[in-house]
Amino acid sequence: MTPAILVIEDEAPMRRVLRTALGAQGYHVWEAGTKQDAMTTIARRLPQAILLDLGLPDGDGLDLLRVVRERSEVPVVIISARGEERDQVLALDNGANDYVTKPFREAELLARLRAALRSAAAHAAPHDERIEIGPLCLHPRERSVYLNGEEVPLTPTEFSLLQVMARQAGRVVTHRQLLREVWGGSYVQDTQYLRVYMRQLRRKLEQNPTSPQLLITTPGVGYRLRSPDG
Amino acid sequence: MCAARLSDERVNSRLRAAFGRAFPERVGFVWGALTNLVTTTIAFWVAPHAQLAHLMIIHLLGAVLISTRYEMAVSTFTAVTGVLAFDYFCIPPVFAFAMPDPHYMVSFAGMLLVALLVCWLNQGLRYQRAVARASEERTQALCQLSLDLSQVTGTEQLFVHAQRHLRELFGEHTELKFTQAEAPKAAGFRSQPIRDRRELFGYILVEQAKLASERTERTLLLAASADRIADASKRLVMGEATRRAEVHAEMERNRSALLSAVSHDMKTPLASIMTAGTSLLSSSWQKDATTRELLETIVQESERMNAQITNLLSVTRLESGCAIINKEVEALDDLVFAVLSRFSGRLSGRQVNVDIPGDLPLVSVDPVLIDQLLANLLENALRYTPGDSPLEIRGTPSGSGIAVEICDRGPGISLAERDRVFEKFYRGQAAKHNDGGTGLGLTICRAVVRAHGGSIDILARTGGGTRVRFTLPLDTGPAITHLRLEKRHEA
Repeated sequence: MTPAILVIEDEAPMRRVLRTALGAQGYHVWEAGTKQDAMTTIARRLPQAILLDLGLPDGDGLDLLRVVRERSEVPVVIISARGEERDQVLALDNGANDYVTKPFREAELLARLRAALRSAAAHAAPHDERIEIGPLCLHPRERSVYLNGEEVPLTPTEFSLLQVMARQAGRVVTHRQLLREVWGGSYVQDTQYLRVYMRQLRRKLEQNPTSPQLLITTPGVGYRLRSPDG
Repeated sequence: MCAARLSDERVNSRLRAAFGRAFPERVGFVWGALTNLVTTTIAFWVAPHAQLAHLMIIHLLGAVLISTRYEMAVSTFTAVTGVLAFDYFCIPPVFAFAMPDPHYMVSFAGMLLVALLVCWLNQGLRYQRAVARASEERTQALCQLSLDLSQVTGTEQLFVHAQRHLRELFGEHTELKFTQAEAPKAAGFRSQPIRDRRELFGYILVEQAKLASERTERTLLLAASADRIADASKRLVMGEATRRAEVHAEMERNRSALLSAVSHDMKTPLASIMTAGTSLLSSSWQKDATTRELLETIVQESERMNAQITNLLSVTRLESGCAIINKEVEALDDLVFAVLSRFSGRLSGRQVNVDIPGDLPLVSVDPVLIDQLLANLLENALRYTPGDSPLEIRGTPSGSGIAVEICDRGPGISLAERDRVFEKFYRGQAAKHNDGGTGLGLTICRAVVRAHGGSIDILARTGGGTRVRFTLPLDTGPAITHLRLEKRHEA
């Protein structure tokens, strides 16, 4: 079955471009130009993924996101403009799966969309299943990590951090999400922990720690564990 | 008596100054003589029926009356001649100055003393009244002047009102001039500068004759008037400055709003163009080399245009103070890697050395702004240096913060240009006209660094090339180090 993607975007030319690009990749494309349109569509049937532009003429894209999240875990990729990092973070913390910043290349959008669809499927899988991402292999049950077949000794915190990102490989994970899942709810403001642990993880996992290929920073938003096709 | 006369003269000169006219002294003596004539006549007439005390009172009355109108000399003259006339006409033997009883001597001396005392007190009273009246006139004149000047709204109006007041106070020949120059010297005229503690606004020329002498009521009035005019001038100058600042701020706001709207409207179609272009490039239909090249041009140029609009918008926001700085605790290496991975395509074939020690303190900065700063510096290094020359990015602790250096092996920037390249729209000598630069990159860098309380400089590099160095203060408490964290959370 080809997945249906709901594109919620007020600019008609952009909608047309997305329809063509996604259609060429074999996706079904549903379109909505306003929040109202989108609500009507979602009320009838749910798509497999949603592309959501935050700046809608008849309301906040964030509200729409909350409505969607109340009903389902359908992957949502945010489309936003540069300089709206705060909105991106807010959307991600409110359940969006990833974001792309306008203007974006088609390849970038497709990578984000694929990652979002894949992690939605992975979410359904049992939690202690082995996770493989490129050269990395995580064994949650043994709490061990293999890089190119060799075990890498990680501290418990380092492992938890890597595991959270690996579960959502290819997607950006916000500082708040990482802090909440690794350290707990009362540490969500302490980004300095993250900085320090990320340094350590890079030193242990990156081939060349001065040019990271696995753990990618997105300034002001969070971190992304690069997956082979993203 | 001598002291009394001296003070008398001083008082008279003040009174003269206060009233602006000389006292008619001779008339006073005539009046004194006439008064004595009248009192003596009355005393002579009533003498047979009255006691000595009554006659003395009548004479005293004359001297006291005179002292209410005239100065001390006249009063003294009246008192002394009165006593003599009394002795001559009223004391037996009549029509002689002879004094049969030494008791009379005591009475006369007492009478004279009382007369002089009363005259002297009267003198003081009159003087004080004159001073009070003069000061009241001055206050009134100044109040009127202040009131008038407080309502003026322009320099022209200020001049007209002040000139009118000054001429009313100091005569038709009074001249007011608003100028930064010193007052010209003119015979018979006195100049009074109009100034506050810092600034000279102009001067007033007043006829010397209208002022009497130094330190008189009139001179004080002139100085006070000049002060009021200086206050009003200052108020106008400051009001003008405030108005100009308001207009400027309003213009800035409009400019920002316009640029923000325009850039949004330009970026929206650009986003469609770029996605469409990349979509065509990756689509499955067969493309010859030319088509591919043209499509790549569309994508690259829309990317470039987007970068330029972003820069323009950033510089406007940063300069107008509209930019909001969202500080977060960041690691420099994190930010550098993020930029490097974005530039990875263009960096291939170059050697990039990143030297950031693992224990470099964390800094509290706006990650998005610092990202843009690093991207602009890297963009410059890539654009103006040979494609195979190495780049170096270094981070070091510096004072109470960190210093970051981005070094290249390009042609370098001449000493004369090192400051100018930070100016808006300035393009360095090395910049080619069609290289895609806007002359805004370094302007944004400086604005970002300054917004964080740091500084940015271009330095020479030994062995050739450019070294851009900027500093960022720590801003938040002591750096949190690796070891302390491990202990706290994993022990």
